[in-house]
Amino acid sequence: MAALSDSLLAWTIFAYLAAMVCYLIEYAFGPRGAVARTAARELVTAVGEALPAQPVVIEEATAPPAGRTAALGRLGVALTVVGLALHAGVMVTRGLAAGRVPWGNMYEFVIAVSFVGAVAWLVLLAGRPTLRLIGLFVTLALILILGFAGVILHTDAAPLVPALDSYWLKIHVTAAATASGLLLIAFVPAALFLVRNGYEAGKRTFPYTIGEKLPAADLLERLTFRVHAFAFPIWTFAIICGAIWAESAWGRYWGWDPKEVWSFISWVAYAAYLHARATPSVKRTTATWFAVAAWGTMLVNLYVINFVAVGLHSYAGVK
Amino acid sequence: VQFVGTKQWITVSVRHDPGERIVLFGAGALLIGLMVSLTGRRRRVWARVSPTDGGRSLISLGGLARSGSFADEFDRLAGLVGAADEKAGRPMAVAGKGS
Repeated sequence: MAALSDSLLAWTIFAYLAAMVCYLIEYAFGPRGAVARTAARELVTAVGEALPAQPVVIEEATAPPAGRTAALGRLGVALTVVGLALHAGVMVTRGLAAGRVPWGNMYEFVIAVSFVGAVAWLVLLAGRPTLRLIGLFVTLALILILGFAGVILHTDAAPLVPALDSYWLKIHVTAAATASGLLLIAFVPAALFLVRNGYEAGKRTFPYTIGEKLPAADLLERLTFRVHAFAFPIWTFAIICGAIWAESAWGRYWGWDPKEVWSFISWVAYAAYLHARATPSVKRTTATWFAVAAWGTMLVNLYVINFVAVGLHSYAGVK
Repeated sequence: VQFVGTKQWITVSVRHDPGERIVLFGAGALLIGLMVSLTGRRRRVWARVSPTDGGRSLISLGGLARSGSFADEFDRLAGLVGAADEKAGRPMAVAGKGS
């Protein structure tokens, strides 16, 4: 079972890779969406007439991008679903091999987190087909995360260390993995909003040129907020459950363990983003930079702390 | 290399924290408040009643949503105010603007 799980991981990465190639072709050769065309026409007028540009009205495109390359985009979505099924297979076989829930060490945790991210992406896509163009960046992130997990973090399936053997593993770690997956995937619309916003403001240097074919900045910004607003209470719940478990297992609910400290830092950082987003006087770009910074603290918590800091959460099992 | 024996030891941690319940209650309250404030749609409506000639009154309504627009809801609200007024037999002019 453990060997099957490992080979399924390779197939999962392969499926996401194939999906990414499809998205890439659609992205590179597909027509620009109606939204992007509107903006481009306004800009040409502005240059030609030497008059101050009219405010560019960006309408939300509700239909998915059409054209010859659209079939490849749909194939990309189908391959993402195949990858997700294989991804679930990795976790099921791993859980059967170890005889427990498959998120007991860092390798398994990262696979669970990326699974949540992939599910979240497909749910968002089902509601807004126009987001298909950012599938390229989502699958790229999934491939990088899973590849790193498979090559660097991989550990053999084994029973849990005694300290983790509690029903709180199911509650606390499931909540933490769900929130982490959502918050990590929320970075994609956040970063793409900053790119697209720069593009709509007329910037044409490197990172902003990516924005040419992206969905409207306004749509990306609202999406960023919604995913964060959904994930943040789950993250809060995960920290509270962790504190309750810590009280029963270690005798104190908060002991400034490195993982606890960085969870708190991430919590404050995401709270700062949500607060900035809710404050009308703070610009949306400024607020989104808070989200990007908060995402950085999540990465530190997930990767750096497990390798560098020694604490009670050192269950990574990475040698 | 010589084996020099072992020394038995034990670490005992005794702790009494009377604040635990308060923290638990606070954390629960925080979570509930957080979800309410993140999911609730906040919008404000102002009403100003000013007298006009002939003993009638003018009701002016103003609305402001924290995010997005609630023009439809506001129009319905303004209509309700006008309808309720007519029912009471004191027709008043209702003017409103939502944002």
